[in-house]
Amino acid sequence: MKCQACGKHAAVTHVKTITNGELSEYFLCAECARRLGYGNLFAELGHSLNLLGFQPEAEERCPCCGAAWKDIVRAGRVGCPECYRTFYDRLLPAVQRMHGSVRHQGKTPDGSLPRAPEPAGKGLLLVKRRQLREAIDAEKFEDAAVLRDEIRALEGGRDE
Amino acid sequence: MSEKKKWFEYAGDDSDVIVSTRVSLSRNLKGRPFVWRMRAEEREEVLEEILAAVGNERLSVAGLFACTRMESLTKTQAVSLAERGLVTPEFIAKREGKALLSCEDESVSIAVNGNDHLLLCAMRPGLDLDGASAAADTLESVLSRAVSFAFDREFGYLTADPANLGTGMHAELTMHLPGLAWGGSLPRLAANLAGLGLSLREGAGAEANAGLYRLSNRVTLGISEQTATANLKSMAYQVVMQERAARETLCASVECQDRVFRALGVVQNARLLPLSEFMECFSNVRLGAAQQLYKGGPALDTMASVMAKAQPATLTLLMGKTMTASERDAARASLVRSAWGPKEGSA
Repeated sequence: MKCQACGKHAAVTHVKTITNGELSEYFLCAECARRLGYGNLFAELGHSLNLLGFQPEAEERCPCCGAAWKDIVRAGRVGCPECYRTFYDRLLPAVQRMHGSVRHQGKTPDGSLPRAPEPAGKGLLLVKRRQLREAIDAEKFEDAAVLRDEIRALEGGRDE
Repeated sequence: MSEKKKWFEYAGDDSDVIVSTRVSLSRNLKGRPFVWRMRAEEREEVLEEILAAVGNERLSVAGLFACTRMESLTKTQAVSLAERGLVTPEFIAKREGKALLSCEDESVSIAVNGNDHLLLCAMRPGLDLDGASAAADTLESVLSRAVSFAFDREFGYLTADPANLGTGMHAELTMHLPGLAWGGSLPRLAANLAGLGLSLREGAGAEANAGLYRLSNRVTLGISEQTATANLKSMAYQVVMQERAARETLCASVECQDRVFRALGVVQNARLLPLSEFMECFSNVRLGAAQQLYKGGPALDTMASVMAKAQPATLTLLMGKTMTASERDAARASLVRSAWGPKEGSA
C-alpha cells in the first residue's frame, strides 16, 4: 500500500485522527509520518532490523508476560516492565538511538526531589555536616573535631 | 458536559501566540504486563485499582475525579472528548476496558488503559508550563502513595513505548503561528528545533486549517522534568518572539487586514458555516484579536471556547440531536454568530 500523504513510498504506519467529527485512519510512509509528527522510531527500528535479516537465535520469551522479541518488534511496544530486563541487550541500542542517553534523571518513586548527578561523596558530606551540627549541639567537641577534619578532607577531595 | 466553566475558557499568559499548555506523565503499575499484552479481566483489575486509589479518602484527590468508562459512550460523545483534547483519537478507536477520569473543569485527567496503564494529564490556558507540570507532578506523587509504579534505576519509569522511558513526561504547547506559516519559515524552524530534541508539528485534523501547531519535547530519558520544561520554555519564547515579529510585517499589509476583516464578516454574518471555512476564519479572527486590528469584536479569551463548541461532535452534543451536514453548518453559524456577532444584529 502506498502512503496516503505523498502517494510515492510504501506505507509503514497507520495513524488515527478526527476528521469532521469522524474517527479516520491514514496509512503513511516513514518519512511522512515523521514529518507529520507520528513517527514511531522504535517500530521503524524494528522494521529496519528485520530488513537487515537480524533474527534472534532462539525463541526467547519474557518470563513475565510471554512476549517474544518478534512480538515486540511487530507491535513497536514492549510487553511488560520485565521485558526491559529480558531483552536488555536488544532494547538498549534502540533506547540510546531514541534518547541519546540511557540513564534516567528526574523524579524517582522514593522521593520527588530530582536526582541530579552528584559528585561522589556529596551525600556523605551532607550526613557528616549534620552529625557535626548535632555533635556541637550536644557539646561533644572531640567528636566534632574529628568530623570537621573528615568534612575538610571530603571537600578538598571534591575540589580536585 | 457539565455547566462549570472549562479550563480553556480563561485567558492565559502570552495567549496571543500560545493557546494552551499540556503536560502528561505516562505511568504503569508494577508487576503487570503493559496494556496491549493484557486480557480484558486484567484491564478491569487495573481500572479497579486506579479507581480505588483516586477514591482513597486518605488522599487529597479523593472525590475530585468523575469516571467515564469509554465503552459506555456513544461514538459522538467519544469523538467530542478527542475534540476537546482530553484523549487522543487513538484512545477512542478501541474503547474496551478504557476509562477517563477527569475533574470537573477538565483541566486534570487520567486516561486509563491507553498506551500505558495511566496517562496523567494537566492542561492550562496560554503558556503555563510551571502550573501544568506542578499539577501533573502533584497528582502523580499523591497516587504513588496508593499504587506502585513500574520503575527502573537505569531506564526510569517504564513504559510500553520506549520513546517515553525515563520521566515519561511530555510537555506540549499549542501555538497559533499564522505569521511564521505565511512567511514560509516553519519547515526550517521545525528542523532547527528537532536538532534540540523538540518537535514542532502541524495540528492534526481540523486544526491544520487554523494555523495551530504543537511544540513538545521528544526526549524523556536522561533529562529531568525541570530541565525538559525549562528547555521547552526558552525555545517557546524564541518562537513567540519570531511569530510576533512576523505578525508585525504581515499585519501591515492591506491583504492581511482584508483577510482578517473578511473573516470577521463571515463569522458575524454567515448562516451556513462548514468546519473548514470556520477554522480558516478562526485563524484570521484570532490573529486580528491578538494584534488588536479591530475593536469590540470577538475577544481573545472567547476563542478557545467557541472553537471547542464549533467542532462537529461537540456541537452535536450541545444541540442534543443528530443533524445532517447542512443542519450542522447552520447550527455552527448560529453558535458563532451568537458568541461573536454584533449584539443588535444577532436576532
